[in-house]
Amino acid sequence: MIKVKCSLCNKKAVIELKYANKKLCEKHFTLFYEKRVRRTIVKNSMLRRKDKVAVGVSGGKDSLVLLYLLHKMRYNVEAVLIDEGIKGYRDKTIPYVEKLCKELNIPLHVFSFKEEYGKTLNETVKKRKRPACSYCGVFRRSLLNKAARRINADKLAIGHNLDDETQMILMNFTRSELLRLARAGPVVGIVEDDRFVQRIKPLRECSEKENVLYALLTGIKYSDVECPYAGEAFRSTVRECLNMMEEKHPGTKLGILHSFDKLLPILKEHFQEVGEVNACKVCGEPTSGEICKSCQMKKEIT
Amino acid sequence: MKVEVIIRDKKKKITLPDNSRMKSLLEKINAKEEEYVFSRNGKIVLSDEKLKEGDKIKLFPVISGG
Ligand SMILES: [Zn+2]
Ligand SMILES: [Zn+2]
Repeated sequence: MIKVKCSLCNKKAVIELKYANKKLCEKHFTLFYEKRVRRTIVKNSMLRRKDKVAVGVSGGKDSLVLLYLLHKMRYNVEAVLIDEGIKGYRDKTIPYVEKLCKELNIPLHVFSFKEEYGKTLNETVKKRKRPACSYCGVFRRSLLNKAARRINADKLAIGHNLDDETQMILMNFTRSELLRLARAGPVVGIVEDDRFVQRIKPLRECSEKENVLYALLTGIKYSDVECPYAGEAFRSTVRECLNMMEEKHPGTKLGILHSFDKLLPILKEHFQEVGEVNACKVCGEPTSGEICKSCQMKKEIT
Repeated sequence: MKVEVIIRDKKKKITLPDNSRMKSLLEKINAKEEEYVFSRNGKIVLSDEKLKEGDKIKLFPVISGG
């Protein structure tokens, strides 16, 4: 029986990385993966050794792999979890987070929509004027920032992977949302303002598939329950399109990401607003306008 | 031959011609290769892997909330 061998040793390959023209065994994939994340962190100056890192965790593969790996790299990490109060979803994913945090002895902080906004997402959408995910996205982001600040973190690490990033790039590009693009990137929120905790994305060069494989090989148990609120339809189209291109032309996703990274300084120069950061008149959180996005949305649903 | 396929918590028995590879199984159940990581009897394998009667195949979906 023919066995497909690892490109670096005699062992059996567990993954084919077409974009890198490699087939790798368990051990060599793990090393390859960890090296890449380390490189992403260094290349983008994401972390300093003394930084305290809040890791936004959901219980899914990406965020748990991120938590595990930053801990393995001996960064000072603490986990923050946002409980939106989505029944049949969040309550099922939380135990996975608790389990990993306990095993690795990492402090876990839970912040809930109910406590912060007075309503769970389930309650919020009863009065919604937009898709559930719009509220969720804005509330989550704002609450993650607050949470990171409350635990005195220097950085907030989030589990966005190569697929998330390339989808975001293509979606914004297609809609001509160049200001949004200018605000994205490996490190977000460079604004010198201590109310903003810089967000970093150490897994942005790792595909979803690589994250699943890494989780399986290292024994990280994660939840793959899907959120009951269907995501944006346009995103699914973009995802399918990118997957098709990647299959026919391996390296498409990394190519898009790297081109974006090269364009980013130019985008920032041309599109980023220079206005100062104000304190929201309602909640005091940082905002470029008078009232922050999260308070505007809160008003909509009350 | 028959193999057992597990996706999330759902189990099913699939009948395949003898000496089939993982690829044919994926085709048969309409699963795209790039959307899953798969294991055969607990070991992660590539889609060229030859299957045997009674194998336990697990499919781990790649697309799901992060
Ligand atoms: Zn090897
Ligand atoms: Zn506000």
